Amino acid sequence: MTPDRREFLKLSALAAASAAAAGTFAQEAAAEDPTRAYGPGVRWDKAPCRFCGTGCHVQVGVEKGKIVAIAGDPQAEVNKGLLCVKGYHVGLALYGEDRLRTPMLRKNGQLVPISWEEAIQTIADRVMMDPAGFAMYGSGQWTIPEGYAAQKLMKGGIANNQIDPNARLCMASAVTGFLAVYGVDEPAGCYTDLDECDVLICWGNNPAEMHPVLFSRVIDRRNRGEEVLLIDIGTRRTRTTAHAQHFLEFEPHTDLAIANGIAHLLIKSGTYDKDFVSKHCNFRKPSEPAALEGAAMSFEEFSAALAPFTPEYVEKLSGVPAKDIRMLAGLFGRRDLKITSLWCMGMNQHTRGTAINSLVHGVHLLSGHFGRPGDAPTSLTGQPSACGTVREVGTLSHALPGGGVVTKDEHRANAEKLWNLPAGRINAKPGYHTVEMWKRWSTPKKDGGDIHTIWVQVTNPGQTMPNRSLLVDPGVKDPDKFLICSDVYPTATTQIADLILPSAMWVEKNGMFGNSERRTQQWFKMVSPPGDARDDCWQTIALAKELHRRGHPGMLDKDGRFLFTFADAQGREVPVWEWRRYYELNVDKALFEEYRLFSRTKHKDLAPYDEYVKARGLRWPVVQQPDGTWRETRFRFAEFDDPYVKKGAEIEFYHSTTKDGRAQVWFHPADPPPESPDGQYPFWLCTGRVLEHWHSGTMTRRIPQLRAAMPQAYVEMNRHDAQKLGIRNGETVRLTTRRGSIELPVWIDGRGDPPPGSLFVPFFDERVQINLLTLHEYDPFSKQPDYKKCAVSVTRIVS
Amino acid sequence: MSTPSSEQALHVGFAVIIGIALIGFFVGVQRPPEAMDLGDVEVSESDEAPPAITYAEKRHIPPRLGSDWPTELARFAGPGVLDPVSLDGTSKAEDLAARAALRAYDGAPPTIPHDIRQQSVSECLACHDSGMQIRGRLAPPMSHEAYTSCTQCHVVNEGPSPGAALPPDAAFGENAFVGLVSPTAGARAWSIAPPVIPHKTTMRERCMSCHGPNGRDALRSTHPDRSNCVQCHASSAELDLRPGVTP
Repeated sequence: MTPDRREFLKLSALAAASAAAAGTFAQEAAAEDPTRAYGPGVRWDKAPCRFCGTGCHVQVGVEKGKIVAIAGDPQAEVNKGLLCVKGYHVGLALYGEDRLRTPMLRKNGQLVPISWEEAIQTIADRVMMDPAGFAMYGSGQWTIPEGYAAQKLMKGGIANNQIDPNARLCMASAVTGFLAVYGVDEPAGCYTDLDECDVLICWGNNPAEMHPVLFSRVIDRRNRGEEVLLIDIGTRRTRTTAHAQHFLEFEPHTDLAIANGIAHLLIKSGTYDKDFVSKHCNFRKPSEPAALEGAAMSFEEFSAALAPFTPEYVEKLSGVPAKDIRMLAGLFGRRDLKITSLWCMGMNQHTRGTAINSLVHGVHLLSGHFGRPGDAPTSLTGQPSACGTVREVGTLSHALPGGGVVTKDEHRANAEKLWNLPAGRINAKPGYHTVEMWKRWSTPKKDGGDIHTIWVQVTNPGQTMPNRSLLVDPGVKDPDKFLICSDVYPTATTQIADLILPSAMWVEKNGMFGNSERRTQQWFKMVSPPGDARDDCWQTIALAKELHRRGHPGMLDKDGRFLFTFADAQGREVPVWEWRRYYELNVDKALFEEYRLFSRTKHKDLAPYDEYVKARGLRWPVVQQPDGTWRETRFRFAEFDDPYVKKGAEIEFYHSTTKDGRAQVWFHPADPPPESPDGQYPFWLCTGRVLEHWHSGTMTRRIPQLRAAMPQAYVEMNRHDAQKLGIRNGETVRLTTRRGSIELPVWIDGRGDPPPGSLFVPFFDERVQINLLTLHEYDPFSKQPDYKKCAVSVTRIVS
Repeated sequence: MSTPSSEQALHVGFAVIIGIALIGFFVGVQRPPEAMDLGDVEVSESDEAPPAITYAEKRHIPPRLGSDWPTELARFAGPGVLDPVSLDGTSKAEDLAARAALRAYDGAPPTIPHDIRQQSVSECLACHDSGMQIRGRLAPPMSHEAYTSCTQCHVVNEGPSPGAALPPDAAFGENAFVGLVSPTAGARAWSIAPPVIPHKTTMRERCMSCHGPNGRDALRSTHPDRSNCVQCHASSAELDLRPGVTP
């Protein structure tokens, strides 16, 4: 027998045997559990991811009423089929065993299960007792219809304006920055800028961990042979730094000096964009008394104000070498490059948040790096609908849907018209912003604590409120105060709540989100919530109905109709406040069609609901074309794409605060922070997120893969500091600030690497509440607190 | 003054030593090569050139480098491209279970069963670019093109945090999620038709990641020399969630 023939026979015998074995095995497996067949039987449908503000679309695979798989949606422009590790595991967030399944009321200190009827009655009792002191604390994770229903209840019904969201802690300074510069909120650019930019500057954020899909969208371009210069301006080395060509480490709070230094060099060297500035910009400075619009200044005054910010002076303030300031100014001075800036909490959670936001916009405007694809100052959001539900629906204590404010007569009149309310129904006095709301809840009534009840939906203030022992704990101990919490799991907030309501989450209900690039997204309910958990939106409408039943006058419109009246396609009224009938019609669609009429006020036009059913989100303004189709807008204020820009204007800021189509380039001085390290508290303390956990970790810590990858909180410390203090890696230390003290293990050369004199602690771990230590000082305009810097001491625990 | 005779004797001595060394060197260099051990390949004794051997036969020929090399290398080498593939049901079930243990559901990015450098960038590619096996540990090659930020999707499956573990959360419970299981074999139109691909191919464009020599034994292809897999094995538009198929 020849060798090749022998080998051939051997191989074919093997192939036949293996094929037979494979076939048998498949049949056996199928016989064992025919329901677990792969593929067929799984129904896929689209939804935006439940977690961050990037707004990736996922495909949710459902089989027999349960989610069994998640896939990146290949049709989604945001993520192009890719996700991050949280997104791939988002389906598991529904299946933690301790999901809340029944309403519970604290009676004599014990939580006891109650009926939904009793739960809604209990809330109604608290409202009727004193409507003025009843507040809602909502969320950038509210769906758009949920936020809209709460907004209508609080501003149009109870009419005390006591509604504010957790997004106050998250992106309020971005909002005030946009308003101060452009006169209207939200980014002009979009994620397409990430595909086009030559230079990406990260201002104090770590997108490699917090917006991973956007980050890789930029740096994966390098794999295709494109050159992208990544500059990381930060206070700590992160995974983003690892990909950057330049890391500019700055002393916390001195980012204002850096921005001023760039502006100074652009003017001094004459490399600012004279044409752009002369056509499209005015100059602005802080006013006395302080106002968001500030005071006008001339270009000469602007130049003179910047004159002290020489590279050497900026180096002295910030620690960033003068040559790097020159490098940044050199890049901005080049018209041939396209520069995109990204930022998130570093600039927003800042007692000068409005100022630094305005200054970074200013650097882009001054240098003309604006309005072309790839040239954009873009603020990112941390929550899936911080833009959609908070900024657009206006669930802030001073805002109305579509960009209106309660203090303006014409905005109130417009809202009263669209809601069919009697004139004068809407209160002209803004409610309390988040810190103030909680402070008043934590203050006895006799001392001016006029908020007696807060209803928390879709957020976890028990863990995320800064300086918790001042803003939360006193209210918990006060018997006059009442806390209601709608959530999906036991959290640090349900632990202290008097009434707990189990909620449906994500694809257990219909929903809509709005992401960081003005993209409105829609999904349908795919699975049932566990036990007796119900939609937050239903909970709000059920309370409204109970208040209506009890004769609260605000629950009626001017024709005497209940505020939340819905009719089906045949025009028959459907009592959606009865849970069993809630899904007889699409309440989301009904609310959205009502809400979208507000969107015209500030040229944030939204399309009809059904357009979003078909799309993977659409970026507003979405404007109907002569042929009846709906066209989204990628680049606002730019003539080539934004239909609201006058023909021939090239760029027009049509909501300019100076009413001349121009944006405002601001000067802000670089002031010191409210608290800096000193002899007693010698370290900076910075807090933030990690890749694996989303915010307070209530969902991601119940996902085994994510919990295993990042099991617990830690404090990052520089190796040199640890050596100096004789601290070993892994040793448990005590961190103390003027507000509180906690113990946790040290991680040297860990996920991030702070410079000497700085510490970093993530806030995801409920067992180690870093917000007992953080500062509640806030930005004067946005009222957003600074979680990124306070003074802390480290002590060894000698056992 | 030294005597000429003693000086001459010294010269002769050197010459002898150098001579012996040279002879030894040339003898060593000219030693005829050892006979090639070609295993059971028949070698012709005639003047004709030996028949060309196929790739299939090559694996029977031990490497011919320094005598210690093969054993040392063998400790690191993975299976060859043409090593026989065993596909009995037991090992397939085990291999699929081992694969599933690193995934929340079929299609989820696998978790990383080893420590990583927390601020890592490109170390992953050292082993996972084309894959390797070291002392029984398998580093599968990436199933997709090289993205830049590996840790965006892949996280370690054991926590890296140093220090004492914090007390576990009260009543935290397990996660009741049941993920989609991996397919076992693709359907065939008739007994010897090429099976269709029973899983999605998105992010699994490099078939040899699992089905090549650095894949798990029971998943390996019997014919890895055929490099255009989709020539014969059809992918599924539905599983790949292609436009028009999903809502």
